[in-house]
Parts: sequence; structure tokens; C-alpha cells
Amino acid sequence: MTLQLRNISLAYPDGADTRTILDHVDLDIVAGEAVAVAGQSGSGKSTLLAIAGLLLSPDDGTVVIAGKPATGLSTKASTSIRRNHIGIIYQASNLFPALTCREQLELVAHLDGRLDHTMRKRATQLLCQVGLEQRIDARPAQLSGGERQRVGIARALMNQPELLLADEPTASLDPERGAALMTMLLGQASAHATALLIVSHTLEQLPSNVRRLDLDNGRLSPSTSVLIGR
Amino acid sequence: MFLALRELRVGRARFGLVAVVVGLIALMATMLSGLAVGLVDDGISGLRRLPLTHVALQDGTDAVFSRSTLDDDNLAPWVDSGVEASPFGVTFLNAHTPTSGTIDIALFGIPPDSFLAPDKQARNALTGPPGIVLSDRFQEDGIEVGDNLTIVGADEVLPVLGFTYAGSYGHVDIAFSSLAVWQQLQYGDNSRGRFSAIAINSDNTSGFAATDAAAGTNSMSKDSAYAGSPGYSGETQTMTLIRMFLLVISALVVGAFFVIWTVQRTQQIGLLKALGASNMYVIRDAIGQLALILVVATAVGALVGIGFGQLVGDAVPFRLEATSVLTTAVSLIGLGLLGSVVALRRIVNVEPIIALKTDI
Repeated sequence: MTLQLRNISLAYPDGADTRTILDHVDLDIVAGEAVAVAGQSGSGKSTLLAIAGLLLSPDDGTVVIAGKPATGLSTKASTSIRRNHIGIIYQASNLFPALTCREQLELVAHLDGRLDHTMRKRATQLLCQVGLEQRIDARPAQLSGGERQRVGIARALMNQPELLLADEPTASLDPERGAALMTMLLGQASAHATALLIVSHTLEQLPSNVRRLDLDNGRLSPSTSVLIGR
Repeated sequence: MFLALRELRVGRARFGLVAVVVGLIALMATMLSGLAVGLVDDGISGLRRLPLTHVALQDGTDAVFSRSTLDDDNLAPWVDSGVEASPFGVTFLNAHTPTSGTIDIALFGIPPDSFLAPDKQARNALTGPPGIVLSDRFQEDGIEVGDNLTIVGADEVLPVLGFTYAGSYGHVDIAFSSLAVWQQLQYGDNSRGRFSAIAINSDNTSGFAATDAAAGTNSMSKDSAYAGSPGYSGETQTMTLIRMFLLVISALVVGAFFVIWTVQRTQQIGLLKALGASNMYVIRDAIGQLALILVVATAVGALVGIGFGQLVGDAVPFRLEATSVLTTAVSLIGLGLLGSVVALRRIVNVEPIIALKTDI
């Protein structure tokens, strides 16, 4: 099991009351599997993704990533798991303005002290795989929105993660480009045998082989949305 | 410093601006350092060059030569103690010259055969008929050996016997005469063997307290005696205060820049952490970037300051010492980094989850 969430609960104080965001949520994703979680704005999708990415600690429940218990860890330990086992694709591409496409990926290797010739070559290969072979030395300001998101996908794959998390990766793109990007993301996750968790407000752009879940009132359930095969 | 170096490369204007500010502060600090050393030098270089280790002055005169009057009774215990000791007189004079009007002189009266004689030539000259040996600097006024100087007030006429090393005391160029001539100029025919101080040349200070008690003197190291130079304490304190303020201002400027820069890149720091950067990695990157700016800007500022110092020449008392320049530069860098400590707390407290919420 690459990602195992058990009995995850989280609530925020809301004035004098408490607002439950996640209510005893269970979720398992195995290597090579893609799971999409949909829900309305404010339903807790991003919170679920943050917990899976060890960016946020739940009030209750356990998180296991790549077989390693990941709840109640120190900042240093959770940072280490995130660096070595998790790749995150953001809603906004979140690229460093000063870095070229290749350097965005090399930075990930540098964080772990592993930036060498092999990793530089891997960065170039990943950028080629997402169709950016002509834009390797371009900086974010020189890229289109779709190109920036593709760099984000390549960067998330740079550390060879077992778990890939995508937070509304197509939200800033038009439907056509969004669909193309989603196809690319699923293809890359499949090619690298990576478990993939996508959270999105809509599941319309997803192919039928993606397991779909709805997040409503803090609980996960199989999606009732109409499948659009691609 | 993977990210830091690339940010410096791309953000030349932003980082260049703060580098210019730091460089200008370093330039000013270097110039002040040169002026401080120059002023000190102008105040005490003549005394510093005398081959003595300690000075004994009349007890209760607070290291001020002009207040101290001693005689042979005070000298005897020092000579008897076995240390190398010599009387000497210090006074300020004005003299008319044949070519350049009136000059100021800080006159050191010394026994010609004592260890205080600046060099062999001066010793020989002072042993002969009455006269005066001037600092080299007076040659720039067109004064030559053989010129007669008329001492204002005393109306004594003394020939210039020669020139010796340049030096000044109380911002006035020095001259040497025999102690007898000095006493004649200072006291006229009623000198009664008086002089200003006793020069001591000995590293063994164990018997100094007892000798002081017997002689009615107060002995002090050469460094302590500098305080007796007119204006010395006030000048050094003023320059030190200005330099301290400059260093504090520099630390505040650098600290403020770093805080603003950290606030601006909060999202970027959050993303770095979300990607797996440890706090230490982020701090190293940020501090490394700042240290690089500080070192380069300070080095350039100091070098320009040294260049300016060369151009100033003798127009103002300006002298650069490697130690002083280095101390100033290291202080600027160190205090600049210290000023940035405020921002480190912010860096540590940035939560990686903000990477999910915003774009950078």
C-alpha cells in the first residue's frame, strides 16, 4: 500500500463552534493506481491532500506512506518523507521565478544532496517526456500556463516518488488544455508506477480507469458522477 | 546556495541596490577608519616613535605633559633603580622662519647622549652648539639646514641643525633640541634643572610602584601616555562613536532589507519546505545569499575607500592601516549578518502548507 489513511478526522474552530472538515476518512491507494476526489469548494479536498502530503497533521487517525507510519512525526522526519517519497503538483504551478525549467527539477535533487550528472540527465529526460524539450532553459515568465503546469508535473516526478499528489492541476487551464494535461499526468503516473491522488472540483476530465470518490460533509464515498470514457 | 546564486543572477537590480548601499557604508566606514588612524597619528606619532616603554610624570597630573614639572630629585630614584631613564621636556612653540613665516613646533628637549636621540646624526648635532633638529616635514615649508629660527616670546634665535624622522604631537610637527636649550626656552635663566617627564625604557615593571612612591611620580605605559596629547581622548572617542553609529546603521539597513526580502519570499520559502527542504537548508541558502552580498559590497566599498585615501594625500590627516580596515570590514559583515537574525525566526516559522494556497 502506497498511501493508507485511517480514520482521519480534522476540525477547525469556527467562532464559538467547531467545523468538521474530515470525519473519520479512510483511503487506500496502491502503486500505479489513480484516485480522484471531487467535492465542492470548501469540502476539505485540499485539506485531505495536505494531510496525505504531510503538510498538515490530522486531529485524529493515522497516515502510512510507502509502508512508513507518518503521523506524529517531527518536522524533520515528515520533511524527509515528503522529500523522498512524495511529489506534489500544485493548482498554481508554483515555479521559482529565478530558475529555468531544468533548474526547477535539479533543485529537488539538490535538496537531498543528490544533484549529480545522473540527476541532471533525469531532469532533462523528464522535461522531454512532458514535451518541453524546446523549453528546457526557459524561465517561468517565458512559459504558457500549460507549459508551467507540465514543468510542475516533471518536478513532482523528479525524486521518483511512490506517491503523487495533484491539487486541482487543471484549474487554471481551459478545458481542452486541461484534458490534455490530465492525460499527460495520468500517463506519467502510470509510466512511473506511482500512486496518484488528484483532488478536483470536477471529475469530468478524467478517464474511466481512475477511481472516483466524492468528499461531502467530511466523508468519502464512491462517486455518483457520470463517467466519461476517454 | 543553489537557489540563492540563481536569484542573485536574475535579480541583479534588487540585490545591486542593497549592495550599493552596503558598499557606500563600507566606503564611509573605511574613510572614517583612515581619518581616525590619521588623527591619532597626527596627535601622538612623535611620542610613539620615541624609543621608550613608559613615561613617569609628576604625580596628580593625569598624564598631561604640560601640567607635569619634575627635576633631578624626581629623576634620581629612577636612575638608582637601575632602569634606563632619561629626563625630557615637551612644549609647544611658534617660530619665525626666513622663508615661510611662522611655524608651530612641538619641541622635545632631550639629553643628546640619551637613548631618546632620534638618530646618530641628530645626536651629534644636538651635542654641539645650541640649535634645533626639525621633523622632515618642515622641509616642505622650504626650511633648510642653517636657517635661523626666531622663537616667538623667548626671542631666542636657533639655527636648524638638521632633519630627522617625521612625526607630530598634538597635531603639531615635532622638533628636537638638547634639554639645556629646551629649559632655556621654557624657563629662561631660572630653569633649576626642571623638565616635563622621565622617559623609561624597561619591560620589567616590577619595581615601578616603589620607585614612583620614592620619586613622587606616576609612571604609565607609552599607550597610556598618549591620552596626555592635546585633544587625543576627545578625538578618539568622537571617531569611535561615529564608527559605532555607522556600524549600527549598517546592521539596521541590512537587517531591514533582509526582513523585507524574507517577507516577500514567504511563499517561496513555504514551497521549498513543501518540496522537502529542511529549515537548515533554507536558512543556509538565505544567509549565504546575504553573506555573499555583504562580503562583495564591503570589499568593493573598502577598496574604493583605500583608493580615495591615496588621493587625499596630506590634505587631511588620513592613514589606513590594514588591521583597522580589516576590522571595520569584518565588523560590517558580522553586524550585517547579526541584523538579519530577526528574519531567521520568520524563515523557521513559515509553514509548507502555504505552498498549496498561493502561487509564488
